[in-house]
Amino acid sequence: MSELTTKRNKYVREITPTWWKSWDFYRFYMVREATAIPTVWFCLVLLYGVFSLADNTFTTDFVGFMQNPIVMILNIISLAAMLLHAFTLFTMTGEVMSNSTGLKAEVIKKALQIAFAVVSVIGLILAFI
Amino acid sequence: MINTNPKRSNEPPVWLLFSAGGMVSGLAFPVLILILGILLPLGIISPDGIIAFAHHWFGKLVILVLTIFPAWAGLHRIHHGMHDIKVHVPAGGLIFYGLAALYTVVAIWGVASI
Repeated sequence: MSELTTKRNKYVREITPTWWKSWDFYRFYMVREATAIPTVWFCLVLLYGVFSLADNTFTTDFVGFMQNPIVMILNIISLAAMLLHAFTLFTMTGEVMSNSTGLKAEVIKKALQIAFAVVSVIGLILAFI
Repeated sequence: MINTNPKRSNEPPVWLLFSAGGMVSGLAFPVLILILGILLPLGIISPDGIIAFAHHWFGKLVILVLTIFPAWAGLHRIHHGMHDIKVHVPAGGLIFYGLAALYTVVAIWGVASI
């Protein structure tokens, strides 16, 4: 088999690691993607909670850890990040699923927002009883 | 020639865990962070309810869902996000999905010992 060779200098568009800084749309994409970091952070917090429950040190060690000012700040940032993740996810899921389900994107979005409200209310009721 | 035995991608099962995790964390993490990260340390709620919930079989199931799926979603998105900022972690798939698998095993072990 003969190989095609060329002396042409192929144009390869250079992409820098900061390509996303140039446009608000890309910047928002990166902020959204960055919410994966608080997700993993809080997963680790939950894992610590699980092991403190297993060791019967939940009220002392885990609550003490959560009272640490740095941990509280990280959790407040995580809360904001997860709200951003949640509400953009509901919008996107509506747009992505509307073709396959035959439902309007707005209907799916609203249903997920209602589900979010229901989960939040149940969570708070369980926390306060 | 048609390759009758193409290399299968590991993405479909990972995507299943990732999309489940994205939805679980979207629906439940905000209120969970509010409860465990703000209300609990400020003493607005008592830890007793949480401890009782975690000792019930249904509570354990909820904890597994709330930990395992979001961990897969988060690590999957960091794995792909690294390429977005042109950091190509060697054997990235093995590392990130390996960590997610490890997290899964440790979480099951932890919940089982409550």
